[in-house]
Amino acid sequence: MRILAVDDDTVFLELILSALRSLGYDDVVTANSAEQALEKIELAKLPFDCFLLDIQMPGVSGVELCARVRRLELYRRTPVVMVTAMSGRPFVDSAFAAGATDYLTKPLDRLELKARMGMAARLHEERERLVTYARQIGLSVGAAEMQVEFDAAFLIPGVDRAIEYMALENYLLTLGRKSVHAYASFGVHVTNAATIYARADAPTFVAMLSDVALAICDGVKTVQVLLAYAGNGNFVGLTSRTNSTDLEELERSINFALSDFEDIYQADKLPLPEVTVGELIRGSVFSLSRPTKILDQAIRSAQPVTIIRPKMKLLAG
Amino acid sequence: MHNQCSDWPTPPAAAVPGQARFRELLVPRVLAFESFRKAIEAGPGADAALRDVAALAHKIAGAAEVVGYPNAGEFSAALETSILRGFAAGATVAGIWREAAPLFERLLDEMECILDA
Repeated sequence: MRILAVDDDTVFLELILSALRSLGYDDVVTANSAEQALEKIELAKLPFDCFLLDIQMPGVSGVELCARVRRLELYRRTPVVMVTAMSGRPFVDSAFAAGATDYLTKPLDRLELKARMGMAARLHEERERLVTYARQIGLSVGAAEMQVEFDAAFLIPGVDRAIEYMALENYLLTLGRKSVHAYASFGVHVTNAATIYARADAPTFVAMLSDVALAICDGVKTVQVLLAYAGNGNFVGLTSRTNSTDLEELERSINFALSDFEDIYQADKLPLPEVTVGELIRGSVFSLSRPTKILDQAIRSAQPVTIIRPKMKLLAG
Repeated sequence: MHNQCSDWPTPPAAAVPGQARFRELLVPRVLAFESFRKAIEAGPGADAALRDVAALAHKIAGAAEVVGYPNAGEFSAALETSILRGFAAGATVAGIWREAAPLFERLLDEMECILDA
C-alpha cells in the first residue's frame, strides 16, 4: 500500500515513517506541507493508496487538503486518515465532512496506528477488487461501483454532508463513550426502497438515494449534521444533542421535497420514494454500551411499525 | 530561574526513532519561544505571537512523549490548551498570557533540562 503522510513537523514525520515501517508499510512518501503534498500527488507516477494528513498545518490545513484530494477523481474513495492532537478535536467534524474516512490522535500510539492502518488497508483492498472486477467485465470503475447490493452501505455521491457509514462509525468510536453524550442521531428509512431497487437499474437507485439525502439535508436546516447511507434504504444522521429539529416535521418536509420529483419517477415507471423518520436518539454519558449503538437505535427507530396480527386458529370441522 | 529537572529516564537516542531530530530542534525551538515571549511582552503583534506559542507547543506535544520525553509532551499540551481556551473564552492577550506564562516557563525549563542531559 503506497502511503502519503503529510505533517509540518519533521519529528512527527520521522516517527510515523518509522512506525509504519515497523508495521510492514514500506512504501511511504512524506510531505511537510499541503502544498508540497499536492505537488507530490500531481507528479506521482504511481497513485497513492492511502493518505495520512495532519489537521493543523500552517497555510492550507489538513481539512482543506482532504477536500482537495477528494475533488480529484482518482482519489474519490481512497482512505484518508486525519491525524490530530486532542486539542484539534473541534476540527474533526469538518475533516469528516471534507471526506476523511478515519482519524488518529497524537501522541502516536502504535496499536492505534496499527488498527487504523488495518482499516485503511481493508478499504484499499476492496477498491483493488473493484478495479479488477471492472477490468474483467470491461467497465469503468465508476460504472462497476454502480453494481450496488441492496443491503450495502456506500457513499452517496453529490451530497456535501454525506460520508461513508464506516467513517461515521469510526468517528463515534474515536469520540468514545464519554463524549458521545454531546451527540444525537436520527434514522430515515425509505419505505419503498426495496421496490425501487427491484425495478430500477443501479444508477437510478443511487440517484433516488441522492434525492432523499439532499431532501434530508435541506430539512434538517443545519450544517451541523453528518449523514451516511447504511444500506437497506436506511440513512442515519449525526447531529448535536441540542439540535432542535422537529423530526415529525422533518418527515413531512422530506416527503414534500420528494414529491417535486413525481413526474421524473413516473417517467421511469417507478414509485415516488417515501420516508419515515425515527426518534432522536441521544448518546448517554452513563451508557456502557459501544458508542455506535446510537446509530443502530436510530435506524431501528425509523422502521415503520409493523402490526403483528395473531395467527387465526383453524377450527377442526 | 529554573525549576528542578523532571525525573525522567533518558532513553538511548539510537533506540528511539525521531529522538535525535527532536533534540536537534530543541535549541531553535527554545530560541523561537524566547522571541515569541519578547513579542508578547512588547505589545504590538502580541496576539499573533501568542498563537505562534500555541502552534509550536502543539508540535512538541505531538511527538515529545513518543520520542521519550513525556513531561515535555504533557507541559506543551497544557500550554497549548491554556492559550486556546483563553482565546475561545474571549480573554484579552494580557489575561491569556498571565495564565499561560507559568506553563510556558515550566516547558522551557523542561526543554533546557533535556538539552543538559
